[in-house]
Amino acid sequence: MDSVVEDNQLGMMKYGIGQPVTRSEDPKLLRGEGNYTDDVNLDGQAYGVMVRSPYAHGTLNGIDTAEASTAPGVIAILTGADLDAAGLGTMKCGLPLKGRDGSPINYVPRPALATDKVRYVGDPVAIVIAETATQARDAAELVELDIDPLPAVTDARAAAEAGAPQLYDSVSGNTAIDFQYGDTAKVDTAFKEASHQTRLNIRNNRIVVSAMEPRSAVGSFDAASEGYTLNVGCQGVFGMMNTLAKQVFNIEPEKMHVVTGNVGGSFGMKAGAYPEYICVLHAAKVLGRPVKWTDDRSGSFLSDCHGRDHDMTAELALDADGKFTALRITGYGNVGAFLTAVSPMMPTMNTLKNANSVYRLPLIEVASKAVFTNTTPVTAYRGAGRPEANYYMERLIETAAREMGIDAIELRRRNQILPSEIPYAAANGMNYDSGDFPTIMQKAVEASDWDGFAARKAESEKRGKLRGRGVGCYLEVTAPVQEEMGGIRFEENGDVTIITGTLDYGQGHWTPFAQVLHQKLGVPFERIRLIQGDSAELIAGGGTGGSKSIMASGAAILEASDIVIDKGKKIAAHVFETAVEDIVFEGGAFQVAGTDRTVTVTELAEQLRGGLDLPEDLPRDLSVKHIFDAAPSAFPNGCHVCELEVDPDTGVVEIDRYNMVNDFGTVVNPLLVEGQAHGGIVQGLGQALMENAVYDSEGQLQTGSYMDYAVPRASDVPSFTFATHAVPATTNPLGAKGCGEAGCAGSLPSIMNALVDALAPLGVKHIDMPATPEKVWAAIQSAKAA
Amino acid sequence: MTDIQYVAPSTLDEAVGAYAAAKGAARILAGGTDLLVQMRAGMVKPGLIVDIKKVAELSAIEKTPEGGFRIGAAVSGAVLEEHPTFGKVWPGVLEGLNLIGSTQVQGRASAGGNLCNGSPAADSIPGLVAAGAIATVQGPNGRRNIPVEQVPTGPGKTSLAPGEILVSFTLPPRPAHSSDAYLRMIPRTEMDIAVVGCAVSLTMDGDTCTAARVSLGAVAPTVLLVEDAAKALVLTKLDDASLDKAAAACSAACNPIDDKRGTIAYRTKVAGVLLKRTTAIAAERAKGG
Amino acid sequence: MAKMHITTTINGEPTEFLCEPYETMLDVLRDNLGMTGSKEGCGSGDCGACSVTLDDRLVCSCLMLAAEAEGHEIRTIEGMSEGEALHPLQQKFLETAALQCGICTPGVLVAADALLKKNPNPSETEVRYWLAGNLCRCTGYDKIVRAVLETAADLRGAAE
Repeated sequence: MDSVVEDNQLGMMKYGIGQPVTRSEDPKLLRGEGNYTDDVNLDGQAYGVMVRSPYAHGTLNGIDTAEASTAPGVIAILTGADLDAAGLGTMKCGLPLKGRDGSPINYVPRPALATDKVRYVGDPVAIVIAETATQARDAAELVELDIDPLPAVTDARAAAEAGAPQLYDSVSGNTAIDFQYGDTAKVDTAFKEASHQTRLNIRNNRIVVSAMEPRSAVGSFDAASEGYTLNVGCQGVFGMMNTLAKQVFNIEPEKMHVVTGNVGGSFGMKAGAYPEYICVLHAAKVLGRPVKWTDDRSGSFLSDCHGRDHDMTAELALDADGKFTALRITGYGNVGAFLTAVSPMMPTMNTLKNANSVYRLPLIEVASKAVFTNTTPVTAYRGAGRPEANYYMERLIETAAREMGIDAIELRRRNQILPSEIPYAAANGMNYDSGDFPTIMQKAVEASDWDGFAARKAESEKRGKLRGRGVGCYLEVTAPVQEEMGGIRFEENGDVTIITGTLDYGQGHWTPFAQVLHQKLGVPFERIRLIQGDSAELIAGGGTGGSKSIMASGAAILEASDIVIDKGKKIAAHVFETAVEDIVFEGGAFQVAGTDRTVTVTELAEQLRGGLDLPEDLPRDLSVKHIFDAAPSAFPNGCHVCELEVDPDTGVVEIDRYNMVNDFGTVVNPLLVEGQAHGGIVQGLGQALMENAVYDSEGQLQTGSYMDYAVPRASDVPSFTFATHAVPATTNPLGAKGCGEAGCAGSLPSIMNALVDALAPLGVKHIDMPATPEKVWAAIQSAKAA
Repeated sequence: MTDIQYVAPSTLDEAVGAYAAAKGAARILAGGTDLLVQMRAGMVKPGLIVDIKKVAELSAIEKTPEGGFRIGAAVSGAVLEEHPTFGKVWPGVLEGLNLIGSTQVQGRASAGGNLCNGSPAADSIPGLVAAGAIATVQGPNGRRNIPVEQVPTGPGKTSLAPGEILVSFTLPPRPAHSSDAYLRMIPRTEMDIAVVGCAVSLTMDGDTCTAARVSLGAVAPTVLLVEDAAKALVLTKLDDASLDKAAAACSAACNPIDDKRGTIAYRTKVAGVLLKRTTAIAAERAKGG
Repeated sequence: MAKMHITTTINGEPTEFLCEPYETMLDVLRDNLGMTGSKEGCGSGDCGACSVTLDDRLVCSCLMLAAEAEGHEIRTIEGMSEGEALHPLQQKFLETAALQCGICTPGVLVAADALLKKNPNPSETEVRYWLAGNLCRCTGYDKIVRAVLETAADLRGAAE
């Protein structure tokens, strides 16, 4: 008896919350047996290739498909007119965000295929469907587009100016929303009364998301049931189902079956519906056979939503002691040619929520416009406003410290919210529930061998290199959890299946979710399965995004487990012929209190399968379909310290040391969390040092391949030192805070602060991202000249 | 795309015959690292692909009777790197060839393909120019030899006549205490396209440089042989003044374009910086050898 | 025109297939032979997700015509593990969670295996440069590089 308990506890230790458990999906992925969308092939499938606008802006007069239609293997060519004739609806942005005058977002519906105008290079106008992908590609080149080019505008600030080319008749000044938060008069006064003001114009460069798996979709249609099926990589099948069913196809959601297997990276980009998905679904219905579309990389550069692209002016007011008295961020966010479901959030609300960071700040104002331009639509990208807002704040602090002659660490200390001040109601409306910001910074400083920097700097100088060090404190406001399914199904074969509507695209949800369930119910870890990518299984699903999945699905699994326990207690009471009140649940087993009569969840499930003779009012199984209602945002935070060297003759930057201390609250699986931090840091490093999507004056993307768009490679990045200082969140049952986007939030400021620190002795005050060798070199030259 | 033919002849005569007969509709396939990308992008639509890797001469690495090396045009960087002595004699040529793309690309890409692609930023070419390499080409009218720097005539253009195939590169015998080096500057550190490439080949007598050739890539419509820079180095001890003079000659020789990868000012200045660094490496190697 | 008939060896197995002259090795692996472990991330040799070996030399299968396989030997991710047992690199990647979305992982493993066969004792810098042709957007490379170095050390230890 005792040995069973001990074995069980050993099992808990091995697979419980907090353990570095390896990922259950990895044996398959490591053998190349992953099931990504392009690996899906359906009987009789045809292949679709998109015809895209070569112009950034123009009137679409006509599409001549005559020659293409007769090309070998071509089955059909569909245009916007065909979709209109079929009565298909448009994709919409339904964010409840309000402008400064209380008006809603000036959204414009997005058709899958353009009919009147084209608005960016890559805007899809037709799909060519053929027997093979090569035939479709060859025929697509034969489709003739009659387009009258119009002047294009690609820059948000320019697009908002009078006289700029207008993308939509219905949208004045190309402005989707003119957002404002904060008491302008009070903020103005604070700046007037400040003993010091720091002001920076900061470019948040446009990013090509570049998930390594190009987007792909296979549409099929079953005439008998009038049901569509879409195999697609996304971030949540429940939301994708609803968007396509309700907004576009005007059918009941259960007639739109969305299935997602493995997803090869997304970072926000694959979250929403895309024109191609609508095209393959409709084509499958029209043709009576499945239609598959897979982008090639040059298509991905144009058609995958981009990230970032803000121009902001950031200002900080300080009193004589260096205490912050007000923060103001004003500027423009480029949303591209169409709104996605979330794109107006990043330059507005998410900038506001996250700029406050870990600091005591009496006043904050954010006033920004989300602006349409003739560019690829912009959507959430790893952090979605969080890293940028932290970056603005940390650059302001570092700059203010230099201007005021105060040590930057000391300046942060004077302003950091102390643990004794938490819960803290921030001026931006956020309520911080937990955190120990000064200790985390101190630990990061110590981990970085702070005092050894001078010697390292001197050694770099001997080699002709400039060494710099930068700190990036951050605090992110994760997306709040709303309606997430916690399904627990006891299968006939003894497996226990978790069913939930978050969906991982590399994070590895299966294992941490199983750890939570294993710890709570004691079911064997290796028998736990996960269903996350089948809309037919879900009764709710918020999807993944905003670093919330462990809070959402973790809490849903815990609450569903409580229901399993309640059901089990009733059944166990019957089995043991005792009262429900006498049954306790402990260590994975139901026990008659004070006796040695126990039955584990697994045993009880097995007995139920075997057929227990139960009264009518008792449940027949332990399975549960539950919806977790909501949890507020959490506040993951931390401090990164970066040290780098600059070659002043060429401008090449090399990162030498990188340390971080993070507070992710309760960490369910440290093995995976560390990887999330690494990945986020390197995406931030890419934005900071090399990545930049560039358009020319005609709206052509100049950086449309990996030859011209630099994604960090193994040789571009250092290794990292990772530590945690956890203060569990009080606002969700697990105490988790979310970790997916935090790496980016720490790396943008720490890297850029380190770079400016290296160049400061030459007189460089600020340098914009990406700090390419040429830009660094040019900054050095102009500082020397001045 | 659907009406392409592929042939892989085993003799040079067959290859030249097939290539010439296709009258411009054919493309040579060596490593394929440019050709397949261009085909995929729809930039080229060849009717015939002539795979030359089965022709022995194009895949061989040989010592010449004079003591130099002859390298088949289709030899990949990875194969050349594994040669027991080539990299000791011509480390800079090898560096250039093995800066073309990734490990995977180095397993396929050849100097011949790099030269025939006609990119001013071709990484393997400055090293060959500095080495004084001679290209051997063969066409319907026979075989001829031309200095490598005379092959490219502009971006994407070469002096090869219709039907001519690049066969090999011949590198001269090396005096004692000679070596070379190649450095390049790119928007990032490992791959991508050079904004400046610099190759220096030197012969040293003690601390004195007795012979030099300098070549720059990516700073003009074709790879340059910079004779003024070489003159500034020869019969000096590679002192700061001489290096400054050579660097200035490099900057002066630059005739670059302003493009998304680098401005004129940056390319011009960095060309001089790289000259100094490359010279230092080559001199160190030459003294050691 | 008629398809080409190619005789080759894939993962040690004599293999014959038909292909069009323009089809790449990657196309044939994925579409004709059902070996979908090799992935297309770019089609231009920039990402390495399609890495295979051709006569033991690491190449991008997207930059190789299938016809070129005639008489040569190809190895892919599908040939890496022996039955149920993972290859030591795969096992180390599993233990250290050196993969996230997994789409680049087959190419990374094939490339890392080629490195360790050529150089059983690589430095961190050598690993980073060798793998520079394998783009990974998820992991930040840290765990990949460590896993390769640790596997190399394990294999050297086992060989002693």
